[in-house]
Amino acid sequence: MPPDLPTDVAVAPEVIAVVAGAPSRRTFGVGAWLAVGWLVLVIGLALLAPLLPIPKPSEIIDHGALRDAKPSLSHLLGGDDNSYDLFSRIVWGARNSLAVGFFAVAIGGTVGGFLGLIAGYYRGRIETLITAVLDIMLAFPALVLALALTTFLGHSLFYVSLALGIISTPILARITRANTLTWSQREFVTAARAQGAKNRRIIVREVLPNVVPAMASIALLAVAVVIVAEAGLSLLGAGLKVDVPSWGNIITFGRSGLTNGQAPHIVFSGSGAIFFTVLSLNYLGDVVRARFDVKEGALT
Amino acid sequence: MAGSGTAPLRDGREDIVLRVEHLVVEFPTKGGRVQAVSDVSFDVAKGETLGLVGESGCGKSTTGRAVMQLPRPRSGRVALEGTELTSLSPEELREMRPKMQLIFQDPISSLNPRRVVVDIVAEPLAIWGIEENRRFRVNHLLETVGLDTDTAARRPHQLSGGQCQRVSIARALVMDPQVLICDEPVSALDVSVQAQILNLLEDMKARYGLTMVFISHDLSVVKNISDRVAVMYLGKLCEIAPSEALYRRPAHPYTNALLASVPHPDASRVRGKSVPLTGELPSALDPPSGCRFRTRCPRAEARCADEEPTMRELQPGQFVACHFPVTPGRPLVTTPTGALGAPA
Amino acid sequence: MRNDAAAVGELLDPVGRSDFDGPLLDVRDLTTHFQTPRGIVRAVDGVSFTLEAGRTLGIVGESGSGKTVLSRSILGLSPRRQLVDPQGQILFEGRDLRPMDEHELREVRGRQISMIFQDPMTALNPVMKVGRQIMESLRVHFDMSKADARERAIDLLGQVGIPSPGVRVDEYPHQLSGGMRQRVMIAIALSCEPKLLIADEPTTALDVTVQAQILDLLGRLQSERNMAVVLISHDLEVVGGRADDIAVMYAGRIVEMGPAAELFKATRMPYTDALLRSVPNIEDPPHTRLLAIGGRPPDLVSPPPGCRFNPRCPRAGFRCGVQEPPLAPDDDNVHHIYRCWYPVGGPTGPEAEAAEARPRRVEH
Repeated sequence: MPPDLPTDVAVAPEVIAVVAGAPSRRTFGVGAWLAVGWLVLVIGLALLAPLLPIPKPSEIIDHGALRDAKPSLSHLLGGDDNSYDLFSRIVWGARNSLAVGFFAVAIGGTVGGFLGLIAGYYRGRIETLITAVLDIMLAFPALVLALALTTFLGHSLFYVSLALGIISTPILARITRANTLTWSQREFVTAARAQGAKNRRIIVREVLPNVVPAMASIALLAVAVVIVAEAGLSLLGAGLKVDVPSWGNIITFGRSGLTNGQAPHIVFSGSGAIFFTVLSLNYLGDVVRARFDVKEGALT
Repeated sequence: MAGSGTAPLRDGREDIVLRVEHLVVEFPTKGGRVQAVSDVSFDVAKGETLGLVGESGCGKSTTGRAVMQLPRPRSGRVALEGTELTSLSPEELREMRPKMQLIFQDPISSLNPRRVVVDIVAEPLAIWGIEENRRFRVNHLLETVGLDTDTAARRPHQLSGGQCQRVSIARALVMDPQVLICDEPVSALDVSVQAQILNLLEDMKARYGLTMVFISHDLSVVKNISDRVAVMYLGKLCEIAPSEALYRRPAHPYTNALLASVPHPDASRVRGKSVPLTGELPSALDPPSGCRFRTRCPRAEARCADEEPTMRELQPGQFVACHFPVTPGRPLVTTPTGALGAPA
Repeated sequence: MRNDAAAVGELLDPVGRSDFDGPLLDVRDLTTHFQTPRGIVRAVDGVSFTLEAGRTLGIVGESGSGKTVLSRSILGLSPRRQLVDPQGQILFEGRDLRPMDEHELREVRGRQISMIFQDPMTALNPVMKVGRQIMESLRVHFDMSKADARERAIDLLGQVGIPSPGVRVDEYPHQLSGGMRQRVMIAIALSCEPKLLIADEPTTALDVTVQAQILDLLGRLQSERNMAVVLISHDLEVVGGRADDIAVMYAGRIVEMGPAAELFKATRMPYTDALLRSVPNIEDPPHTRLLAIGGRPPDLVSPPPGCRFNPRCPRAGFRCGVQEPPLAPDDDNVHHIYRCWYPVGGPTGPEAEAAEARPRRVEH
């Protein structure tokens, strides 16, 4: 617990005041900088993809020759099974994978966050109803649900994101609800009510600012999960189509290179990109939570 | 102790600010509905401080919240300056809210950790859209409650418990309320800080002409700040009397037991008077019949199980809900049935 | 500080006992500092006291005074990783506990010295029946059979005043009231017949009527077993009626110590005095103005120079901010020691310093 505990709160035994908090709380550690650096690089490349001097991802280059091309100066990672430039597909894949990740979580976070806030704040019948719906959604096997949705809706970036967003909704809603529950019971919420604040004002001004850090932290983890889930969908043939490159379909189409041992680097580049991105997002999620917890950490 | 009955209500008086009648609060639990507050009636006159004292689980805090309509009580009436709150529409009630404010026990939980002090204190003005002199009013009030100007920009976690409690008091006063309900406002503070806050509350009461309900488990603190004191046990009122009278000649056996338990540095005096309360607090789910205190009362007789005592006036201003009140001169009993400790 | 320690040792150590030369517990110049991100917290800073078998020492202080760290230091329960250069000796029956490792300390904890805490709910294991929790320590320390341990557990529950102990032994902590849980804690603490019981705010979480019961119970068990008790509380009045001697702590140091009655009757240290006067007295009429101490306890990372109480002290003179007073005995009672240049009962700091300065000016 934190050292800067108010000294005249009798309920807090003084031993609390001397146990140090995690040293990485206030300063950004090396790991955090690495994570941020990787994400900045990936997001930067993704955004600048059209401007980069690289082949278009669906441009078949040196037909026949690139298919088995090893990495070279002109084609940094060589070619893939379809004779596309692999580096270009990784870069454009980042664009789409990240877009799916952030878009899906934006949908899940908005809908789930809203439902969670409502359920956690108002309690009662509305909470029972919302949690019942969320439980039903959670009970569906996630990938099967996504499979069904994409098959039904289509494989465009929007629909894949929508499908994964729907899947992430109940999880984000539950976390928001749990946080809202604890914060709504705090006495400053009662105080606001006693002052005559309306519910909407209390939710927006008193509860939400306290719930957001936890949500942000979970949302970063959720982006990571969604990126992996998109790759899973691709493997099942239900993800983005080959004309829309993603890290998932790089792996999918690189499988033969891995199994025959000719070009394992195709799968490795795709999964490597996923690995480092997911790791960075997870790490950053923890950092975000710890950092914003300081305000509250000093008190609990 | 069944302190039902409305005898303590002083209906003849013109200056009653808060009037509570037959207040009942129920909570649903796994074992059924629990009556946390059961038919409680009292009133508070303008400028008066009513102390509400009792042990944990007696319903004193719940009473305070129910008076504030947070949440609304199950039944009973609460009138603030003649306006019946329990029958108001939600919007009408909201309009009334600034007239009655609450101060909490936990100085930290009662302030939003993400806001700075000046915003916390200004929030009631923001809620009601009062722009005029907002800055000045807030700064002036912060100064009045004894906070430096540099605390205004801080967040609650940067303040001490005592400072947090001052912020709470400033926030409660910014809308110029009539009634201030203090729910254990000094229990979480160190003794040296406790005195600062109690003195501040007295000052604010005088300065703003407040009417207060002061809820606490600490009998010494309650006596210090209250004009009248009401004692609660298991959701009922036992006794209500002017502080001086209640502490000098407590009539209810429970009030006696409470007072005997107060530690005193002079060991000989405590032990001599001590009639320790034995047994456990009965479950509120299934309270004893008749008088609720009878299972632990040294004076209980058969009648106490059959018939719930109602509030009656024993001395002028002193009301007690007991069939066999302790009268001055005749000390409380006696035979410590299985009493622990207290060797002579 | 070392001189003080020796002085205290002599002062509070009347006669030797039959089986040991020294007192049961002899704490000498104990220093517990912790490393934190903000700097070194001087939680306990040179504390000395002694405690005889069967006696009660009350330790009183506000939060941040170091009283809890002190009690934990005795049992080696302070977080070791953050300890900075622990100093001093904790002589229990002549053996120094300070240099002992975890393994050796485990032999002492529970068996010789027991502890009860403020919050019995967090100190008890919520998923274990209370009987089992008592039996655990019995079986660890005495190698008892299960049946014997259970019988002893029921016996102990009866001794601490729990009705129908045969039934309660099979209940979980959440099925008991706060007072009953604290009784269970006491039963566990007493299960191995310790010679010393450290009670850290044992009644703070309890109601007044229950508080009286628990303190009476502790008193009875103590006299039955000739057990020594260290009773820690923020409440001078709770400790006052129960302790033989009282030590008042402020900012990591003992600022006044002496026999309980003497301390209340002839309070010397202005901090103790302020503590007593800032609490509302139940005898006073309503609306009696309280004498509040301004400010708040100092930050233990950088305590003020001189007397640690001087920034808040109404009697402080110039000297108080420069030079720390030693823990010295009172003129009237050598067992009453305190740390103050201008104690209550004499002239205040400014008065004394003015009087001192005057003759010199006359000579000019």
